[in-house]
Amino acid sequence: MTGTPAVVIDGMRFGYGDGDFRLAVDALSIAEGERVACVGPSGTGKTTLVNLIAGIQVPEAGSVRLGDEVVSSLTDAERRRVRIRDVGLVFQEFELLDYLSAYENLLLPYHLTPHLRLDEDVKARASELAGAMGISHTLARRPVGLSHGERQRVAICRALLTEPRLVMCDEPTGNLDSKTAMVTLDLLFAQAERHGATLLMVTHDQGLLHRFDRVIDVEDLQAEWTA
Amino acid sequence: MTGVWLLSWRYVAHHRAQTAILVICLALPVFLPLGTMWVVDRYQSELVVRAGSTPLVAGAKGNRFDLAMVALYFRAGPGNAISWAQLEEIQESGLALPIPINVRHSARGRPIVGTSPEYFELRRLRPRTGTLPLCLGDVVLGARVAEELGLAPGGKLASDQKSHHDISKPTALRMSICGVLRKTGTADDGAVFVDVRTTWVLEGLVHGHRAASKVDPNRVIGKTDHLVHLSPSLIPHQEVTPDNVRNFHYHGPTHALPLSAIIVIPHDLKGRTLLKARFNATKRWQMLEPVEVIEELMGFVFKVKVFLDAYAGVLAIVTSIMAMLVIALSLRLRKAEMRTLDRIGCSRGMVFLLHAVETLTVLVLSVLLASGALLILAASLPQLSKVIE
Repeated sequence: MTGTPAVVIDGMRFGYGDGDFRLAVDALSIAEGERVACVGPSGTGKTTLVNLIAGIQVPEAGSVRLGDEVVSSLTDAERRRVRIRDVGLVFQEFELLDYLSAYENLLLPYHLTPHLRLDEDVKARASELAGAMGISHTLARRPVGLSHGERQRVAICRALLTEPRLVMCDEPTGNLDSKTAMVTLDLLFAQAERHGATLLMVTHDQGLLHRFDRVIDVEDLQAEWTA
Repeated sequence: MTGVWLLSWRYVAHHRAQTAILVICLALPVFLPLGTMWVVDRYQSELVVRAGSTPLVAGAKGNRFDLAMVALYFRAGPGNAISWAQLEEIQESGLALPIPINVRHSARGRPIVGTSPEYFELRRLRPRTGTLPLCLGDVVLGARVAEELGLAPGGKLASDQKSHHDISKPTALRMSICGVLRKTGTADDGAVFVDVRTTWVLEGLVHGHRAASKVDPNRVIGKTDHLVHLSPSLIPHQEVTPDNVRNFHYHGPTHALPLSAIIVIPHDLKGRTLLKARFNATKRWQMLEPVEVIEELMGFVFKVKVFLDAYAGVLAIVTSIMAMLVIALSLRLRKAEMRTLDRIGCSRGMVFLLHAVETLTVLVLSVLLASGALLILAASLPQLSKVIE
């Protein structure tokens, strides 16, 4: 941990069109290399916070900074470029493409953008990463032929392969049994640390919180809404 | 760009059943109108070329199409016969060369065409092996007949017996194969040619048997000074051989012998006009230009083709709408996948490109399938003469 902020949120205001939900965060800073757990009851805005940091959604006011880039003020195309290059995302539902093999899913970001070049180094890194995650033997299979744990590990490899500055996981163990969840998290932490990536994980699992450098509760972050 | 092709191909290949259905549905509206057009064009050109090389056809009054079809494609209809006298009349007029065509019998399902040597000149038919039919009882085979029946010169071919239960009907005649014609790709390949006199033997009009003086007396029904009446139970010769050829004879005036049609080759336009006028002025005979009949026939075909084209057009519109619907539904079904791509950071342009390449792949496969089907059709078009026959 160097103490340099990987994520900085300042005076951010966000609301959905129907007005039922509003998220207001006055200030949040996550240091580079820091491992942060994001908790809170359902519907309080954990996933929305992840989406705002990743640039999937844009705040109405305030700013979201990702390293040197003020994500909130970028165009849609620029936000996508930042996301695919600098952010690794892991979802609860794995979100692998069923018509690709595990290996092709792992390399998916490289197939989707010219900003990432798929060369022999990347392929070697993919094989190494798969080996470290224990899924080398599954790479030729399609997702339908993998267990839940294997699918999530493929998804984690996909998120880490681009060597992102920030890895964000939205309840990655929600669909896994506790033993598989623990193994998967061990592997995730080890690989994130190895790559020096900042980790922000949304979780409901209280038993995991002790493994993080910091735990933030979205309800505590919620500031008074000012238009 | 490689990634786009890879992902698109993987998607299309993974959903191969759906893709195959879509490809077939899109290929059909391309193949159907083009295929129909090719077949009709080929059909028309084959008919017109053959009709064009046949200046006039004379026959008994009746259906014009039947007369043209019997003279051009040896399709024996139920129509009345024209007589040998009309052929002699044309010959004696000095206005044209008449060629007899008599098609009333078959040999192993192939039409037996009785004609004269001029027919082979008209159609430029040359024997590949052997000779043309020179004698009574000789037969020369069309190329396809020889190929399909595995026959060659020196062999024998029996005519088909019309009735096995009526002893008054002439029996089958065993004919000697004297030659096989070169392949022409026309109706001549599927016919069996004999001298016109042989067809009268087949009809029982000309027949051969032992001399009346040598026949079993029990089979003699009656006698006059000039005529001996023999019992129908006397079986005539069933094969023409050098030994019995002199026994074949006809008991009536030769000008009454029947023909299915007469191909008429006028020496000039004047002869053509005069002959047509003379024949068409009678109540019993007609003379027609096969090209006109075939064009009239093709007129009907083209009327049907207009409906086929319209049908293909409607099919194309319906298929296009269905394809658009399928693509739209596919996009809805892939909403989750698109959301994943969106969240990973895939650009909108790339998502559009993925869909475009997938659609393009399906279209290219459809065009390839339609082209393949058209190539197969084109390759089989030369065999179309079989269908026409």
